[in-house]
Amino acid sequence: MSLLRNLASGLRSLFRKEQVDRELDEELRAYHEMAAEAKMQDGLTRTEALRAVRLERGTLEATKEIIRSGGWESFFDTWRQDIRFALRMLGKSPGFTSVSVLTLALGIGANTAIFSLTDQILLRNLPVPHPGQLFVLRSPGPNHGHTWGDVDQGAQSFSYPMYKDLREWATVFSGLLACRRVTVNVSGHDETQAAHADLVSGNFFDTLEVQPELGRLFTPSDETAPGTNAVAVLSYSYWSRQFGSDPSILDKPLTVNGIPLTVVGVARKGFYGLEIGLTPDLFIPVTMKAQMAPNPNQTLEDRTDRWLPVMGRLKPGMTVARAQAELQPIYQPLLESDAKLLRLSGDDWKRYLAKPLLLAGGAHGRLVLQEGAEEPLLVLMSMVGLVLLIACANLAGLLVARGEARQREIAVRLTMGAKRARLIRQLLTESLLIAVAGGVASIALAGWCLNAIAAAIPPGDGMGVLANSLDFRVLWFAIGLTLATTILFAFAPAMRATRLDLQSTLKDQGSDVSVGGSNLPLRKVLIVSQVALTAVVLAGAGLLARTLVNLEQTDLGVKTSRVLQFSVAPDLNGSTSVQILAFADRARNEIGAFPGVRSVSISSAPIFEGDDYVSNFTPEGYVPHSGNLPEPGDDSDAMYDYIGPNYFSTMGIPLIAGREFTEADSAASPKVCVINQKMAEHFFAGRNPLGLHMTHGAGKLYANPPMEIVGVVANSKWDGARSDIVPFLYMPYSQDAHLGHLAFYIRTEREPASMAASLRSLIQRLDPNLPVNNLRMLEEQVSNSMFNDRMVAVLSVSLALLAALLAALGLYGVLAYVVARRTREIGIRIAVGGERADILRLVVGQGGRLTVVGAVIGIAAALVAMRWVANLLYGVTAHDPLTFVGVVVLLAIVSGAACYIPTRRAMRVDPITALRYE
Amino acid sequence: MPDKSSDLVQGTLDMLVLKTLALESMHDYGISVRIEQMSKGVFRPNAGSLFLAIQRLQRDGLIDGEWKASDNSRRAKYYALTEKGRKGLNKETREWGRQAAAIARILEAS
Repeated sequence: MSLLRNLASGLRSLFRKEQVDRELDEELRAYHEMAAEAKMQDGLTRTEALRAVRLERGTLEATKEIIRSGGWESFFDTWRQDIRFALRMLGKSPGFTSVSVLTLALGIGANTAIFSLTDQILLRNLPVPHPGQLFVLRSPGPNHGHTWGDVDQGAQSFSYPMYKDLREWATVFSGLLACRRVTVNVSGHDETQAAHADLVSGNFFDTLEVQPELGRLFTPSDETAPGTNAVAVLSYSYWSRQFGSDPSILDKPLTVNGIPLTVVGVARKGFYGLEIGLTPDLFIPVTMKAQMAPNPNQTLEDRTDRWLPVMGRLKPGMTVARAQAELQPIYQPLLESDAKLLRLSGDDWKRYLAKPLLLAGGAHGRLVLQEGAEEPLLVLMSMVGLVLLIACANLAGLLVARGEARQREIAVRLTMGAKRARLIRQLLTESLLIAVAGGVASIALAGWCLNAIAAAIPPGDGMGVLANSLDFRVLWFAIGLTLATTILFAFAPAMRATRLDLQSTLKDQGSDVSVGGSNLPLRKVLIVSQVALTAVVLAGAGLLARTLVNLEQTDLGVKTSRVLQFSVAPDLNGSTSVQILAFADRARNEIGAFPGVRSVSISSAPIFEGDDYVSNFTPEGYVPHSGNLPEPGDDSDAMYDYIGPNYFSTMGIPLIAGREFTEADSAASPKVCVINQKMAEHFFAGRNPLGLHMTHGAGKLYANPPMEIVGVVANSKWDGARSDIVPFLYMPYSQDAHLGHLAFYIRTEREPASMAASLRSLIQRLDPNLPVNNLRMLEEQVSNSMFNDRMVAVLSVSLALLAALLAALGLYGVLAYVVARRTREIGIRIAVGGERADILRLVVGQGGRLTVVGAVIGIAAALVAMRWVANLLYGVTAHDPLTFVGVVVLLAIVSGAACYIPTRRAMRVDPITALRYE
Repeated sequence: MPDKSSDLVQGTLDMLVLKTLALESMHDYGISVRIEQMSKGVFRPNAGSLFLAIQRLQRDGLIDGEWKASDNSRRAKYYALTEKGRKGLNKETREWGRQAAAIARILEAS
């Protein structure tokens, strides 16, 4: 109970200060009175008695002070005093306060924003129990048969029969799930929209230990025979967005691709599937694959169709090494039966059977978004850390200068008996207040930054989910950073400020003619390091900016201006190839008749969307290992696409030899193809390829008819500016036996944006259940594909500008300080006949020297540091001389700007006033 | 004369105050006088230490204070031992005796 009393008493002292004080006063006075009376009885007079008591027992005030500081609450009390005093002092110098708070807010805010992105993309685990037990299965090595891949060059794709075998025989897992993201059409009241669906195995939710928000989730009984599990689970976000969280959708049918699926449940809030960045709208059993995402090369039965990613939860206590070792004997026989089906032989057989089954960490889910984002984020985090250091150096310099300006005040207080520790505490409180204000402002700033970034993200891109989310991790990060920077920039200046030689300080300071107080070397070091750090940040930003420019100016081989694009997926509505072909021809003709359309064409796969189709091709007369294909390994992979007539003229790809496809190339006419220059060189080096034949497929597995090469076109890039030129083969879509998706490209006379509405209504007329996807300018599509690079470049340039600004402010501060200190000296020099030019040299010389030293150190550091940026660059090397020269020039400009005002002030010094001031 | 009495260790002064109040309850000046008397002038607590000790003992619940009219009709705060204080005093006294005996033995050892 004494704790309670202690607490109560202390609180009373805090909050009823006056009353407690009065009581204490009364008690002490009584004490002293009685003591004095005792003395008076001994014969002293009243005054003598009181004096004697004071001497013996201590003065009233001193006693009160001792008693007050005895309780625990005195700490808070003095701190409250400190805060009030600090607020007053900060209020007296608004310039200093606002610059400090702003500097800190910018430094910490930038860091918090970047960290938030990094946290969401790289650090967060899947929101499921024990994510450390989850692993992604991968089998790197040669791909044969039909392989689909989004990452890892197809190593993470398995066939459905293979998955089932592994699930049955692999005992190392407590659960093995499969999940594949597809796009489907969902028909609502009067419109059909595209939606993202995850095709999942029956044990998907059980293995991940996810709970339903409503209804039930899938069980193994939802994965029986192909085409029979017509059920669906909604994701929470889709349920709230599309159905307003209406619980009555349970057990009602949802029409997906024309098929009614019964909605059995809703997944719990916050569950977003296995890939961060793209929340699926629906979960559908994998047995519905043929209906949801029809593709003849991705069937449920064929062991040579590899399209299904697999993840597993290891049993508790099982290590990765042990699991991998136990999986090999199970995997080998499965590989062998696949190889037999693929009719592999010789080296191909050996290499295929050598494929291992490995487990990659799955705690962050499948790393689709992370693959491209990891390095840029790390680079940005380093840069933003450097900017924070510069900001701290600025603040330290400001505080040191301020401490110097207050030297007299501090000296007086020290002389009056203030303890040094107490003064330091008080100075630190000031810095802490600045830090708190800066920290609060930084959170607002970070939020604003994230909003800006989120707004710039192209729609449908994976990063869409990364809105401003100031969750607690990020908040703790910001707070921790604020405290760390406070200690970093405030402590040393506070110590210095209170370590005074009292005598000389209290004497008249005006007669100080010598150069530089004890603080100047410190500030010089700060400036030099600021300039050096700025140089590093400038170099990085310069290289990244040039990379972006190079990317944007890369010749893609396609004329992207004034082309409109859109895609449709008629196969999702159950249309057959024949129907789709008829639809495609009809749409093409009708669009071609629009006013202002120069040409229109169709491609099966959309360009610049990262949708790659790769296969083996066998040129005419090819005999394996006979030397008529380039070594090594007889690489016969090429990318391919099915296109319509006038594709090359619409896309602006020059025809080198032969002809384009025409209406005459139909399903019944002879099989033809067009290849690009790279393919011609690769397969037919030297010979004229026109008239020769190519066959789709290699080995004895696929017996496709040979196609006559009727044209050669110039090389173009398929995925985007960074992609390499690869062998490419084009076939007419009329000769595609399994036409499914269509991408339309329309080249117009004038600005095509006005055509968007007419296009939509045309498609609507031709097929009311067909959603129009990705309707935009081709230029915009290209631009979207460079989003990562653009974001990195923009952010790093912003950081570089911020760094330069801070360094300039710091340099300005030091020079202004130097000029102010040496005003008398300058006055004397002018008075005795010195040239103004000498003064100029004095100030600029100081600034220039500091900048040069900083620049040299910085360039050297940058040369080392740019190595880590090398992977992000395009068209520039990490040691690009032009960029580094640019950095030097920029630093010169920055330091010149910083020098300007102090120099002018120095030149304008009036010797009379300077000498008069004492 | 000023600071000789502050040689008293903090805890010891607490104990002496408790003992003083065990005999009879009195106001702060009275405690100081009594301690001086009983120690025959060896200990003369100064106001600061004394009041600190009283505050501590109050907060720990060992003594209770109450404003009363003093002998010369002046208001003064009178302190008295609580039950907890009485028990605490006994404990402290025993402990102190043990320590003092131990020190004496060490010092007398040859």
